[in-house]
Amino acid sequence: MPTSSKFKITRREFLRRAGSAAAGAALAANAPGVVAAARDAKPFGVPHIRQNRKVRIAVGGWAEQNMLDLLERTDFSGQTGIDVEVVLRTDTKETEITKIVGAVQAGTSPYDIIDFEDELTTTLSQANYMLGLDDILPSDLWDDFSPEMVAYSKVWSTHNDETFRVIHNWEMPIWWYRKDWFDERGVAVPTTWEEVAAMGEVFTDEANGVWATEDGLIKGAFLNVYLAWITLQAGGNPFDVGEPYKVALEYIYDLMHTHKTLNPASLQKDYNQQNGDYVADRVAFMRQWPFFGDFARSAENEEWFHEDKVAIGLPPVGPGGIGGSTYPAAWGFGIIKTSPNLEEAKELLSFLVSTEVAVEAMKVGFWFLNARKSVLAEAPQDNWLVQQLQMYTDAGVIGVRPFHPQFVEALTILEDNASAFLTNQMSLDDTLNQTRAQLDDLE
Amino acid sequence: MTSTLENGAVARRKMAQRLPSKATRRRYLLFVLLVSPAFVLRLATAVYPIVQTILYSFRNYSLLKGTNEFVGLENYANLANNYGVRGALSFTIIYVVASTILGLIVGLLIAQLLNANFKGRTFARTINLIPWAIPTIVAGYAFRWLLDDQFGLIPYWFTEMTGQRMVVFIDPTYARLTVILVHVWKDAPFMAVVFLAGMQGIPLDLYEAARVDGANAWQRFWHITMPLVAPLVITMGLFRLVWSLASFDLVFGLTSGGPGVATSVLALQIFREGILFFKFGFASAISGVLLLLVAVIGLVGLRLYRRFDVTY
Repeated sequence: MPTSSKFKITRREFLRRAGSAAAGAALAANAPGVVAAARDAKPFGVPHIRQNRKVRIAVGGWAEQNMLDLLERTDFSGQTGIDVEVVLRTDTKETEITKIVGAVQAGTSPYDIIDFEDELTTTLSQANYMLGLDDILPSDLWDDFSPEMVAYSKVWSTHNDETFRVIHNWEMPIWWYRKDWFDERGVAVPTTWEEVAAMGEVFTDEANGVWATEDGLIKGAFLNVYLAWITLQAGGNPFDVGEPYKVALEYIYDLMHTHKTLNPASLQKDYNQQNGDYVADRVAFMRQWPFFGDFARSAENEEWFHEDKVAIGLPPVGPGGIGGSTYPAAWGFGIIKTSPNLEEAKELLSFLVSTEVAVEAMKVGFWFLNARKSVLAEAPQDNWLVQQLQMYTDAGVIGVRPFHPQFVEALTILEDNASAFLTNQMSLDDTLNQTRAQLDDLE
Repeated sequence: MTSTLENGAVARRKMAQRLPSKATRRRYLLFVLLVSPAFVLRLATAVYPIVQTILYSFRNYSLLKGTNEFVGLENYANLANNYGVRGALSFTIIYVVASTILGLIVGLLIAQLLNANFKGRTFARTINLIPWAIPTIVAGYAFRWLLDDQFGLIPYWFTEMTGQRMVVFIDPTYARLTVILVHVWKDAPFMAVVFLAGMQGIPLDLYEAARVDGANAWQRFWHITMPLVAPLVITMGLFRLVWSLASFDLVFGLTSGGPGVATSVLALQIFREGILFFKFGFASAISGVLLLLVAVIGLVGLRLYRRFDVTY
């Protein structure tokens, strides 16, 4: 056969070689023993170096520096010989849950300890993805927690009487108000539902975009927070879809449409938009989480800021009484069951939740502020957040956050229906019936 | 005996004649070898997921609950009772059809404009693509701010012009309209570029002949441009329909499906049920409905496409 090049091969030869290569590749891919042996083989001439024990902890970006400072300050690695790697988790529960579920299903985990919120705790502990912590926690740990924190932990950090998370951040929506505006108009800060409703007449100037109050109520867990807050004030749990929830929905509707107290556009706002409106002098008072205090005091609001503009009052009392005027939400540490460094993770978690380290953590940053007795005793009393926590604790206004065993799914049902009712797409009765039916289907 | 042997030899010869020749068999083998990588790839990335999704849709597969039993058509029956899915299905159809038709019209208008001779035409063609180049999720969040009742640029202009306040997202009709219009704003430029390419391929002689015959601008557009870019319009329309059916990022960023479920779409429901709640069975049933919609639209589109045979 004539050839134009010495490298030319026949078709038969090409097919034979290609077939051999494919068979070889397939064999290698399906021969784990061979591959594993190759992977584990030590490179010739490289001395074996003993690696330190290590553990990975995932925190939100806002807490990264605090955690690094805390570990350095307490010298955990020096004391234990365990290297700690602080990695960032995403700040949305949706992304985080996807990441964790995928990893756990594969029998591994992207990190050993996670700093996580209520929604994730409920979902992951019920899915049996988290490690029970009762065996590694000191028996007197809970003595240091305030009764409210203990009650909260029993609902939000346990499943089947097993603890899956120890909380370090425990904060609640704060009742912020413009003291300068109230003083100017000679009116007192509203302390009851009726007084709140009456504020529409005092402050709302719809034509100029000024409202007595505003909130971030866009769907996606924002609206649910407000529904839970108001229903708790009405004396119930929205997930029960009982009379208190009905009263709460009617009240919110009236605040928006009858009294013109609450800006209806809140339904399409998130917290950033809400905060932006407040510092633009469009809102007289509002419910908002403590991070607003940092935002108001930040450099970008330096010209606007004055203590009288961000005064803190007790939340209004509803038909349910003072004990449920507000509720906290929490973040805490837990261990993923499929963690590759389980023993090290247990050591680090025990260390982080100990009384001494909890106090040190609070000194590092207010992300670690909570109502533990030791923490509050050592907290700087001139700090606005400490004062607020003390004020709310002393006044006994803190209730337990309304719970549902399938929280993430249930809150979506609440939001879909409540949002439809508040925008006149559905009657109140239809809303309640449909919500109840959908929640029943979850069981 | 001899006769039997002879008969057998004849039969074997006939069979050998019916079998393909050695060369033909080699060609078949080569064909199989060359086609199989693509075939296996499509099998793994398209056929397998689709079949698996359909199978899941008949099970109560929930990763977090740990259930995975065969439940027949229960998931499909539950679709009809689910408020979120019902709302999403109705808006998906409105959203997909309206935004595609509007997108095609606006795209054609932009293309017509960009096809004209004017100074700065290249610059205009370039900036035309900016909305399309913006990631959809970014556009969603950006428009949420642009339409904010307090600080949004658009409500501000509206108030300046009419003296009325504009609060779009608390009214289901306005919210739906807004989602559709933002989608058109985002995608029409890309369609325009495709149509522009088609328009530039139309021989100028046709227009000159029509002009000589006394055709006005509208007649030239309707009787020359439109028929000749019709296959592109059908193709783009088909693509847009299918892409829109699968898209959820705009809705997620702009309205999160609210108010109520007024702007929710099927893809958003699949995301919620599958990724947030890990109810793979139910999410697969919604995907099944979406698949059916895509298939129907695809078939209609292909039939339409065959109707248009462009000849110059």
